[in-house]
Amino acid sequence: MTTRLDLKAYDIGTEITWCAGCGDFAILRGLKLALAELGIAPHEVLTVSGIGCGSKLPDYINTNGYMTIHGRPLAIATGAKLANPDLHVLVVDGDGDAYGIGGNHFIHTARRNPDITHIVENNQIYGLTKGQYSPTSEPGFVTTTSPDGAIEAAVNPPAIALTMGATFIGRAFSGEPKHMAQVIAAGIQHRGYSLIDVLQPCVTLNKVNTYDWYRSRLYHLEEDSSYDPSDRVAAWEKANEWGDKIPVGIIYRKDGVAPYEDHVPALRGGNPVSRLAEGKLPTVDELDALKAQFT
Amino acid sequence: MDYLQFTNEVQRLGRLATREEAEAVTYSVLRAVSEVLPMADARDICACLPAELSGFLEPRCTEPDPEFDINTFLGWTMGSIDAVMLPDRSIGGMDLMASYAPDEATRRCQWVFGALKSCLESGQCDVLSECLPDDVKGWFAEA
Repeated sequence: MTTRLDLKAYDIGTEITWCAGCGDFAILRGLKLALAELGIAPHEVLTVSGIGCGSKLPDYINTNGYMTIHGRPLAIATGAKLANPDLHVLVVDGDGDAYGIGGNHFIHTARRNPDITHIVENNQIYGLTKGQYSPTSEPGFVTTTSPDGAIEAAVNPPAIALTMGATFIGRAFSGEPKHMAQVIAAGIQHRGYSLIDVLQPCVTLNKVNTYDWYRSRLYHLEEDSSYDPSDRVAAWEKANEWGDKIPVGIIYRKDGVAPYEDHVPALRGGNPVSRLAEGKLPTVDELDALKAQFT
Repeated sequence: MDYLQFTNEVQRLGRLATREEAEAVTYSVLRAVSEVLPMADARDICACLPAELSGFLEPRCTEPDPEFDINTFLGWTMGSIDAVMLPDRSIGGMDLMASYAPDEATRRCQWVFGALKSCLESGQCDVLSECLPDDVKGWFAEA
């Protein structure tokens, strides 16, 4: 039986520098709620991020953390998962990091299917660099780098993930923290790559996709009893629904697919990190010698 | 109090240059309040307000999200703040506006709360206050 943990277990006390009202606060809280609900202790989690406002998150949560270079958290996370398959590996990054700079990693991680939970803070703008249009900005979106409006079509993350063979695709809204936490928890429980695209208002720089804008458009897939998230064709329709109506919830899931690490021959002997702990840990001198090779 | 008087009161409390600004602030704060009000309480409170404001307070979800906290509340309020023309007083790694936006958003809530309190009876104020996220309760009390 799972023992629910106290949310305080994930508090770290670092000063948070997000703008007041930023959707990232709710995502941070939603992630803590999901981990607490699932009874996953901080030391059992690795949170990996890239660059951007939302990518500051590992600094604000008491788990193992790794902030890597722009667009590369999925690659780092895959490596970490292979090194220690027992770890719950989460990636938290923004739409620019995930779908722009890291777009190639997104595609290949979806088809590779490692057991990684990928939470994308999708605010449709580059916030940290003060407001340039992002891969998910809609055509016509005016920013400092698109003064006449964005020209190209927006990336459709759920549709790309579905096309590339992702086994779990969810979407949530940061204005509904409880529902978002449930979708994140379902993603963490899923064995395989799970994409959770969180629609998150940038209250400072995106005055189009506001809380109000989303509230008038969102509906919950769970409220439609006829919707079956294991139906790939139905999921494709939902993944492409955007505009006057936007679905949130679990868009697609395919359970029972062995994740990437189950197929890696080098892991058949067990968890490499656990094996190290069984008396094969390097000594301090050995580690110093190793470090010396890089100085 | 009618709609015009309500927004005039918000404009006066906030020393806002235009009534349009006061309307935008009123809308954003009341929409945030609508997210935390259960349907029945919203109905009682709307009955005491001008019809235009009742539309702002009408709940759009079946029940309030219990995890709706101060930051999500502020998110709605921040929608009425124009960041583009404001000076960037950020330092070091601080985000644009992060250093002063909470104060500005808090004040905006209090202007609307001040006008709201003048329309409601004390019992209704208590009900409304009880529904607000913990930290926001204090702003309501001080308004």
